[in-house]
Amino acid sequence: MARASKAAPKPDPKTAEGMTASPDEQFAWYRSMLLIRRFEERAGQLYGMGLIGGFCHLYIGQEAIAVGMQSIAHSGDQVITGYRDHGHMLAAGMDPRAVMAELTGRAPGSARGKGGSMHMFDVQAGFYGGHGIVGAQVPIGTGLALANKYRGKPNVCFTYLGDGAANQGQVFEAMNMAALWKLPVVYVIENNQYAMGTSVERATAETHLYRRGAAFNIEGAEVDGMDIEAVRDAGARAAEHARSGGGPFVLEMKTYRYRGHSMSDPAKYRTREEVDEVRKTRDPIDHFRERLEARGLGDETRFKDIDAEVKKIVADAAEFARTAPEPDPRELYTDVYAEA
Amino acid sequence: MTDILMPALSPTMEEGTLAKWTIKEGDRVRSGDVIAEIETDKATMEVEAVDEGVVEALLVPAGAEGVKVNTPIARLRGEGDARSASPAAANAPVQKAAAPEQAAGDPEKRAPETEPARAEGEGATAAALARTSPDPEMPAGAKTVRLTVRDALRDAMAEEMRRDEAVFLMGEEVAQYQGAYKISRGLLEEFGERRVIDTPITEYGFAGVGVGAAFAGLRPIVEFMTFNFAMQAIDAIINSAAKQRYMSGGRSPVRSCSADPTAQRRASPPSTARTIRPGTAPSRG
Repeated sequence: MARASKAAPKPDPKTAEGMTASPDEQFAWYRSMLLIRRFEERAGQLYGMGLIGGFCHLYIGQEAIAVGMQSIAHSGDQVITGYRDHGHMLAAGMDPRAVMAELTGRAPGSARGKGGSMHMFDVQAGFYGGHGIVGAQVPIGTGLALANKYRGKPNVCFTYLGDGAANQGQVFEAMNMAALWKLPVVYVIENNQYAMGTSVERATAETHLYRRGAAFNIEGAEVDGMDIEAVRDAGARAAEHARSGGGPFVLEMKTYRYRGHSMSDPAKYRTREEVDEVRKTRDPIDHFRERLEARGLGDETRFKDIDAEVKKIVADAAEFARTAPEPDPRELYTDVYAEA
Repeated sequence: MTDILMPALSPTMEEGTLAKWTIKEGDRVRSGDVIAEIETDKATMEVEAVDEGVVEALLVPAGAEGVKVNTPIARLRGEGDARSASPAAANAPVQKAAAPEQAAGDPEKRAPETEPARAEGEGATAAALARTSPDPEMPAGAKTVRLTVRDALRDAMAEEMRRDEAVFLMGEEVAQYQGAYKISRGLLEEFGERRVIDTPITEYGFAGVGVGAAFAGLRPIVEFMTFNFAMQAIDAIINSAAKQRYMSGGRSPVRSCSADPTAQRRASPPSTARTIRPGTAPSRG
């Protein structure tokens, strides 16, 4: 019984398997990925200017995953992830101003300046954080799925984790319960090959992370996480499986982060050449743009317009985040207890 | 002659009901034979013979309540023992009557001597409340009900579950086993397996699952068999639940609580008998 099956063949670039998307939809994905890229570049810059205190983990290189998965989500589905979370928030539709202002710790930030990069939350957008403890979001996402089942809602929780978190004990505990109770959860393992400075090969005895649920009979698939249409195909199948009562599913997204683990990581554990090679040959945004061009879907003007619009949004968010007021010191004492 | 003593069937048992004898006087018993059924406030259990011999006398009648642990309940005649004369048998009826009555006697009569100890132990009597509550006034005409802390916890949970569909109980042995310490006794029957959920013995994982359900606006009661085991889950309790409200600027609706049945007992190590009062996780509404 080969429950943990190796990934499907690469989708035909012209017609992604089982899904036909309009040109407008395809450009929306492109725009969403580009927004994350430019937003993160600007966040890196603000960090360098000393405007972002605390932590800052950039999503550059991994954009196709959050955007691709979000594009197949249904209304009411939930998203939860670890601390490399800005991309998921933007993909979920959170306001770039509120996200950037949270990074700079300002009062109109998403968490009123008290959570920072790793702890934003937007129930309206279906985004449940933003979690700083490696792997902690995995049982929580499983609990969100439990709530869907408890209430009889036809929704799925997309629970993201990295290759580092995939070794955490609580991940296995959660997977066991998800399979036991057939909970509607899709575990999306973003394998960017390095858990901070430790490569997958140096950290885990089983490097095929799509097999993580094999001990609980959870099906898994390996996916090219740099190809948004491959992400969509696999994501849609996994979500359908979970939504229709089949229980959890594991997707291993093979991806890469271009920047260091955090802003203070000089990334000495890999070579410059390795990073350049991925950028040149597998970049999710360049790659998809070429595909759109090959399909004859857009001319130069359309790409330029998107570029300009995204730049404007990001510049506006950065200016807002730079100039917005800091929280009142009294905020230290709010949101600590609630009336029971 | 060998006396068979009322056994303690759990570390907390002090007395029980001798529900049924499965032997009678004159029977020969072997080690391992079931000789009686004993009821405690948690369960009914069979008692097996340890020594071998012929039943000389049953010292406590079937149905006797409040039989203290270590009270002789039967007498065995071994191979070498002579058949006893009547004094022992003659004494037996006296003892039969005395044991249950002494234990099950009217508590009011013994109140002066036992009240302080009971108040410490149960903490729920009016007298205890009067000593510890900042407001010693009992409303005029208020009636008090005597019940165990165990049942009070169960009743509180049941009340909340009847009131609010979003409240459910999950944890180790809470459903089919009826609670490791019998706190959830009867809840599975009333609320069904959707709302009374047995979990694997994986505290870290199921605590996080409870926190996630709370994120979605449900109100889970997550029971750890003892709070010591919740140490495994301290990250979920503190980092994922307790801090969430502050870190999200009040946008996370997390609300959960944990039940903490733990007591100090002789020969119980700190790993399984330490009581820690956790700060209540932030809750809303």
